[in-house]
Amino acid sequence: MKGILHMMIKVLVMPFYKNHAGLLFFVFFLMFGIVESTQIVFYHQSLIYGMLSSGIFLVGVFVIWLLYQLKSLHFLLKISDADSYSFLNHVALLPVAQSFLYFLLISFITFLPVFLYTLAIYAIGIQQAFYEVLALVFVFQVALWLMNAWVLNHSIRQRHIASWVTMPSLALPHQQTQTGIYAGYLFKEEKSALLLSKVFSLVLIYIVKETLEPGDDFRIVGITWLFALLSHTYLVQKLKTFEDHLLSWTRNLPIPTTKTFSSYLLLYSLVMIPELLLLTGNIGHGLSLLQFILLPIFSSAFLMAIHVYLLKPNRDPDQFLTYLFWLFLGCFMLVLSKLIWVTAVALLVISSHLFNKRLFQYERIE
Amino acid sequence: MLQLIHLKKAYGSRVILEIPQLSIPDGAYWVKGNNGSGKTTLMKIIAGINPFEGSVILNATDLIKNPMAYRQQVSFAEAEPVFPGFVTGWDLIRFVQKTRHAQEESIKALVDYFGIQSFLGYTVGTYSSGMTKKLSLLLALIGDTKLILLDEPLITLEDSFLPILFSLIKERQASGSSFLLSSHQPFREDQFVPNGKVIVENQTAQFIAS
Repeated sequence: MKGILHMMIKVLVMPFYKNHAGLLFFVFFLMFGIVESTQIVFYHQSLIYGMLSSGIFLVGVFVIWLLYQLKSLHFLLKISDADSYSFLNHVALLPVAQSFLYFLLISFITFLPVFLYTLAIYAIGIQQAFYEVLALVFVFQVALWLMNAWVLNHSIRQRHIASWVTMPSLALPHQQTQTGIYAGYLFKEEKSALLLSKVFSLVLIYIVKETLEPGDDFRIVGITWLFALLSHTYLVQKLKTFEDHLLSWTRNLPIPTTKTFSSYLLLYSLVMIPELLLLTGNIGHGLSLLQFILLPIFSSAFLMAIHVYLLKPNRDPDQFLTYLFWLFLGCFMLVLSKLIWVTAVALLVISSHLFNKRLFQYERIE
Repeated sequence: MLQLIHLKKAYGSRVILEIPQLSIPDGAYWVKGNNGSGKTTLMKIIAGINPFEGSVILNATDLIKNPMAYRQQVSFAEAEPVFPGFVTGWDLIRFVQKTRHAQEESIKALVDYFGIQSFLGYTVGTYSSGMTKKLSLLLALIGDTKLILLDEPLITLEDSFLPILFSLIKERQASGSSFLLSSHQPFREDQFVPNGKVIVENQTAQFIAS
């Protein structure tokens, strides 16, 4: 029976972490990368104290955990529904309690990054005698694991019954163009991933928008925008996988490389429109028109720099996080040095060159 | 005339195909080989989908040196086609029509010939494998391409559709298109008689004229 659990971890949990590496990296950086190393312990102590002592803060954290768990659930349901995962139907042959237990463990392992941070919450909570709040945290997290386990177990046993929960879908025009097909994929097939990326980045941009004053340094917006972009790296990975699996036949079509490159640039600019709209009120109030125009250009350049990396022939998948780290760090330093224009142009030029060089040299290896 | 010169395809140290020299004149040919012999890999290389070492030249147009001009002359239908499930058949047809600059009349004629109007308005995710295969073959026949590659065109299609497909192949052949059809099973002589064979075996390929 250990073999079944091992197989489930391999086919469900491993792809979860591989697919969400960008998002997890983003959250990790947000939690530990923006604070000076000498302040990090004090920063997290304050953060946890704030969470344990403020009801609203606690509810906010619970909402984020819930979103994370829903994202994980959506991913697990989606991949287990794929034809290549039909072998998982055999799990339904196990006793209900046993398969539930397996899915409970799967839910726990996908929740592990949050749980590890929760250990620090327990430590500080016990030290400060917040026993009731800690009990609430414990019950809430266990409820999240149970929820995912129940839904997964139920879904694997009720395959013959049509689902009664569907997410609303947008009818998109222009699906006869490259950008239209890519946008269609994000809006129709990756709704929850898009929503989650948007929740993170819109909250960030909103906080900055509310605090922005006339005469404020553009670097504040630039750095925040960079963090917002980082939460979209997952979408770039998903788009590349989509292209590999369902659009490889288009490589036979006489579409100029520059046109394909432009389609992606346009898409990556369009993806950031909600964040841009949020900042429109700040034009002339802490943000000049030129700086405002720069933001979608910087978005395309940064996300395209990730996209071209994924086109690298024979690349080591495990190196992706390292690349993302250095790309982010490089951009972070350049934005801090007031070189955001230079960064955007340099990334566009390098990406364009690599895209031209790599597009037809790339081949997905199973 | 299709020419493959010093063509090599390898994954790491594992060589899949190594063809020193192969010339295939205009015509319709059967690409023959056992499972795993490299037929699909060869066709994907000729289609410009998979990277390779060496040269692939069609009517003096080099795939590497002139990729767009080459791709304008070559189309390809996969053995087991997959398309995004959220687009309709019409969306894909229009997409390919635009890229290949095909006339509206030719599209209408093709759709009528295939008799698949009834489902083209639905999203591809709702298609059966046979419907998807027909759509894939139709997409490969859009435009005025000089070389049409059909990888395992017989699989998943109902028998009644095969005469339609082969009569279309003859029609296109008469108007100057060449065909490479891969299949691990022989064609029925009353439906299609190839001008020769391209045998793919032992990591290489050779041309045999009939």
